[in-house]
Amino acid sequence: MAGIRIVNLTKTYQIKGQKIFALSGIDLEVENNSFVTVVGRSGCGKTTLLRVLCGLEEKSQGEIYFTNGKGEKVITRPKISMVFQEPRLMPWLTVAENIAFSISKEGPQERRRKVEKYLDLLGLNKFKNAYPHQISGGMAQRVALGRTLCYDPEIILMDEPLGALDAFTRLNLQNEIVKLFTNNEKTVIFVTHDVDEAILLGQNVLILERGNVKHQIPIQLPYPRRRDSEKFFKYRQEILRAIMGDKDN
Amino acid sequence: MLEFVRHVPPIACIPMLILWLGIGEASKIAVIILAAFFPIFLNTLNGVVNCDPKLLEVGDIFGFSVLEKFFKIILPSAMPYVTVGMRLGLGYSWRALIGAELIAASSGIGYMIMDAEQLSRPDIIIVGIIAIGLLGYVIDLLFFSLTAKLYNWNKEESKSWQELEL
Repeated sequence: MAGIRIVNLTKTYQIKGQKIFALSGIDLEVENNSFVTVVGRSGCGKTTLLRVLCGLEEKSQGEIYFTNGKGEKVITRPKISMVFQEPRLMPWLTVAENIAFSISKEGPQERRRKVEKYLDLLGLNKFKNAYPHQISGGMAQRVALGRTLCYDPEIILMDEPLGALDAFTRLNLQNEIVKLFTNNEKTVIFVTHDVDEAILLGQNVLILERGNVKHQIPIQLPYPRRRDSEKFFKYRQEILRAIMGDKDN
Repeated sequence: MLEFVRHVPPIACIPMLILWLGIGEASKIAVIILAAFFPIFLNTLNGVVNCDPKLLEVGDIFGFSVLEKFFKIILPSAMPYVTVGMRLGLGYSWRALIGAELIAASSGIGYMIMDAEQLSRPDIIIVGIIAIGLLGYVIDLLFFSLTAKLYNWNKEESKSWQELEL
């Protein structure tokens, strides 16, 4: 149960004495248990936003607050985790051990129960004793997703988790993510460069440009969404126009 | 300082070690330590320094402490380097040990060879050389098979998982 309120968030880098704004004063409200997708051209600050949110990088200015179900500020930082573009599995652990990686403090029975739950959920049962180099990229990304789910964070940040996969594996995993999160109590921020994916998954699509939120487009379609519906096309056009600017249309 | 010590062959230290520790097991153990230290130390250092920062970020994401990151990410990822260092160290210390026995000892294969030299018995010397080579080979093989079992994730095994299951 956690939402995020971002006020004037700024992140700057110094490159050869020049100040580069990766994020320039983002104001954003992410509601509790919502699924937000973020699109934008490369270099617009998508990844930086996630890295600052989960604490991998320090913010330069501004505030990040966390809110509870009623939209009130909470002081304690909720559990936040991230799925990276690459699976980043530990090569010396098997699939099952990788999934259990984040919960090593819990008791062995509890661990086994959770690992088995996510192995089932993600269809990884046959592979549980395989090492990461023995499984395909799509499977590895599933393991990474399972590892994050096993940690049971309140907020999940995903940085183009399907970006490096082939088209068919992608379609499969997109459907699985819809199933996993539409009736799950998690707040998700999902970065992608694929507009279709953003519409398919997100309740809200944010369009970032030059380190700021340019548009916020709520998608009012029921899950599971169909890519071939007329409304889907309209949303896609709207988003593409917002990203590319009007000059191209 | 380390670079200075690294370039001194352990054999060169033997006279001093004998002076300090006497002709016995102690001086031989000191020679082995001198010979094995650098390959193990440098390889371990290399393994720790080369730990993938992307994997360390995974530790950050799951709220690991510095100690947890060390034991769960840095150490296991450095283990293959450590074992390579140990394997090299094993070879070096074996050579240094025989060297020490050649110069000053009252027993061992090196001592046997020196003894045979004084008695003009090349047959014994050749047997000694063969024994040294064979023993070194067997020790290395034992060590390798022991560590290979521990770190089988590091080797390209058959990719049969994918072929069978998909």
